[in-house]
Amino acid sequence: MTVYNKRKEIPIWATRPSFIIGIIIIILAVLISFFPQYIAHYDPIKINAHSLLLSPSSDHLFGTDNYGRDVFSRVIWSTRIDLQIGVFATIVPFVIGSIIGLITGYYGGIIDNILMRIIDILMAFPFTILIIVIITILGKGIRNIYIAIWIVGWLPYAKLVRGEVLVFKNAEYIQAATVAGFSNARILLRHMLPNVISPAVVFTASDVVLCMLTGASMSFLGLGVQPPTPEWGAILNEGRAYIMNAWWITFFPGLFMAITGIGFSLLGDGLTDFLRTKGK
Amino acid sequence: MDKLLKVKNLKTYFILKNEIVKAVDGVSFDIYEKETFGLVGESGSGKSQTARSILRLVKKPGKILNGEILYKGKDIVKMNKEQVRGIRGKEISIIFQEPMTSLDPVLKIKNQIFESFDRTSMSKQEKIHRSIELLKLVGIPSPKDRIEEYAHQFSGGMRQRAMIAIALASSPSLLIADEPTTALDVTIQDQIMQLLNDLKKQLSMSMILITHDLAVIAQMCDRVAVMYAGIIVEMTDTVTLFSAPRHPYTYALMKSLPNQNLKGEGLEPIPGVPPNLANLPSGCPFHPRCKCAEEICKAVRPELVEIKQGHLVRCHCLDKTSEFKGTINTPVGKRGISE
Amino acid sequence: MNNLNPSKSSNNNKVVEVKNLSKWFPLKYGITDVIARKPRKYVKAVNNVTLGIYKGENLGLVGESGCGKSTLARNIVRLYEPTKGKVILNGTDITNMKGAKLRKIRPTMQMIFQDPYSSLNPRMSVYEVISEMLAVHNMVEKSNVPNRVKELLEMSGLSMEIADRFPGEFSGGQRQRIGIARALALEPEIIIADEPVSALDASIQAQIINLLDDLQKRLGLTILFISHDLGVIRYITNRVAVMYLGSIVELGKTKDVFEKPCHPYTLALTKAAPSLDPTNRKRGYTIKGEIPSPINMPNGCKFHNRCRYCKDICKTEEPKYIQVSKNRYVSCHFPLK
Repeated sequence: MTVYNKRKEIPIWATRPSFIIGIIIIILAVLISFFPQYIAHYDPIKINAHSLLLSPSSDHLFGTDNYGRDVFSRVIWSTRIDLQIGVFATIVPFVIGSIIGLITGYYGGIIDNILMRIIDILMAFPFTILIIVIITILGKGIRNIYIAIWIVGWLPYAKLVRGEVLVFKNAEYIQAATVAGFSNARILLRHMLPNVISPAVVFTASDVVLCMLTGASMSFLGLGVQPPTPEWGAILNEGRAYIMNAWWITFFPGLFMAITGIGFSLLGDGLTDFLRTKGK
Repeated sequence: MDKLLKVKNLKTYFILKNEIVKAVDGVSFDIYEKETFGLVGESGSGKSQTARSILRLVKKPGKILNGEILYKGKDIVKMNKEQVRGIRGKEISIIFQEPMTSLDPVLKIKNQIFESFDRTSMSKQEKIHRSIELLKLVGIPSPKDRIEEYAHQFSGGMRQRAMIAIALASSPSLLIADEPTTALDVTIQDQIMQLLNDLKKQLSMSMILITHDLAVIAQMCDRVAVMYAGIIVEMTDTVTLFSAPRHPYTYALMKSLPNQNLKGEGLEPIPGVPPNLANLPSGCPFHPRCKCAEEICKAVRPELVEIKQGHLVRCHCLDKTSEFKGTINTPVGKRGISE
Repeated sequence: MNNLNPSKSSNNNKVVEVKNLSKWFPLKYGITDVIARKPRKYVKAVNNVTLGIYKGENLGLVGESGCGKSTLARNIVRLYEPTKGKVILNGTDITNMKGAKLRKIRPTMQMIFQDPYSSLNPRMSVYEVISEMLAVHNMVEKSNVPNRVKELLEMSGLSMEIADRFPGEFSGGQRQRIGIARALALEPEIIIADEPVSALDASIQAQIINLLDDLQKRLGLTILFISHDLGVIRYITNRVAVMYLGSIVELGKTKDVFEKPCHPYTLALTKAAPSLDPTNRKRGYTIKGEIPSPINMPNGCKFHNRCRYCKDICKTEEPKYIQVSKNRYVSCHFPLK
């Protein structure tokens, strides 16, 4: 039997410039978060009364803030925390939401109805408001940011996965699996899951950015990371008062957030291409 | 009979990143007035793309690279967009396989018929009157009410009839029907085939009928061209095709049909798979699957040769194919189910 | 063709028996409908079907869209649970079986699907698809799995070389072969083929039809062959059941049913199918009208408003499904001939 398509060597999606840029950014960010001590030479929390509000120079690449702390070091050391928030606040909702979406979509019935009502109610409120409410109840701090995001963040995943499940539930190969006497667990995990998870995976890329921004926003509002821990949002908050005469305090953390966000978005685009072409 | 349409050496290729798909690779035929001309072939044979090329409906990245399509003396290939629009839906109409996706879901049926009256000076009254007449013509009951309805309120067969009505609104001289009955149930298919035959006679229209179903061809067409891999391999009148085909593909196709008319010698499938249009075999595109293939078939693509008046075949091995007997059993006449 | 005489009516010879089976799908019924006391509406896909499938035969199920043939098949294979009636597999009542019990007997009846493009999981390689079947039901020793996969592929006209490829790389005909190999992996007694060749090109249809025919003879399979294509049915089946709006209107040996139909609908079907003879274009009678909706079915005989032989009783009373001669059943007040 002849087969038409040959296996390609390097898939097209991997050679796209946008994807490569995204990968480079992420790799750099990860490296920075693992080895900040080799990149930044100053202690990010050490106060130095002699070097207040210095503008960027060869000694202080990003200048210093109102406590004399080297902004460059603070921004570099923040990378670890922000990346952690982005990634770990995303993973738990991704897993929980996908499982919920998978089960309710497949079985339907009352569970599905209840779930959809819960989602509808919760999604009527803006995400940030909900987070603020939860943190107000639980208290400030990084740990509670995670918990707040986990409580609310699974909704879009459940919706995405459930939507796909409803479409694929009736695909003939799922019917074939049922007719073949496979258990529901096997059908859900082996046959449904790989085919319905793509939109959720793609969403994680944007979600990482969202979580990062939420963490930064909460810190900006004083509800998240507590001083003197460096975190992009916190640094931004502290720099607010000095925008007119020390623009570098707000500019550089903002720049890093933007670039990291772009990196994850480009990664997400590449993922979409990858998932679309796998197995085809 | 006069020639209505003359297609000369039409080549429509799809130019992709890494390859060129030769959908139509040098096709020539004539359509006379008042005749039904069939284009038959499997998927990938190029029949649909040929039809679309006639009305310049080929989607990018497809492009008509070569050839002439002469309608009443003018070359459609060379026309500008305005001129093509003057012909499309007016003098040459087309109906498609899936009426649900060809009809506009948000427009009432009457407004879709009205679109064909765009360039005329008809008053609204006249347009409504004509629309009702058209629906009556295609056999839709209660036409006064139904012109106010939408596509989704019609059943499959009715939608196809509505599409025919829209296509005929401008009294075209040529109707192209691209797999008009393929998506329909057998009993509805019969109704629509009858309808098309009756309309053709009533309106003195010519028709190009595109299908993969040889039986539909047998029932509806005067002449027929068999297509394979983008080229015509055999072209003749219908009776000759079914009584004495001369191309190995035509013959093999007939032998592979489990139709009640074939005396039970058992199905003989055509071995192999249809060719990849981006990577055609050398020489005759059918040679890898052909029982008669010889060395020359692998090297040289045969020319279309007129072996008898009106019967053209594209094959090197015509001496071997003279024994082919078609699907019509002699004596001709009694077939299948008794009346 | 099989020479097995299907007239042996001892129950032991039937692989599957369907008794008075109905399947109704409820339409959405919201709170406003409850308040307005509107009656519940159903899509009556299958209505009171009784059918026996004998060992070794190829039984055809033919009809146009909405006749319920696919739904009936899915009830037999227990993808659905029947609303009424019974499904009996080799003497066991499987109508309401669930869970592990049902999964255990499933290998006995397997299915081949219509759409080659959605009947295979696009993310599993051919090898994975077939080996999974073998593994889940422990069909062979673990060490023997690759051999068995090779056997099954070759039985379906494919070679082991393609085993690592994914369905997306194959043509429609090849995918159907993979689907057949998958169905055979569980060594079923009966295979239900739901329009297995309708989506294929003519030149490939013949290959698959021949393959199924061949496999049936070699492996002693029983096949329920569903199609709307009369030519295919006539070629491959021993007996055929004609369905209209959820009921069987006629059942009998294929040759007899097509050459001397007893039900007006069967006659209309055979007349409507175009003939391959261009010199025979006498149309005779073309049936009028369209298939009614399975939600609002006509009273009496469901075919009465399209039947040229319709009499008064046909409009009010539903005809019974009766035996008119040896192995011949019809549901009509005035069977033909």
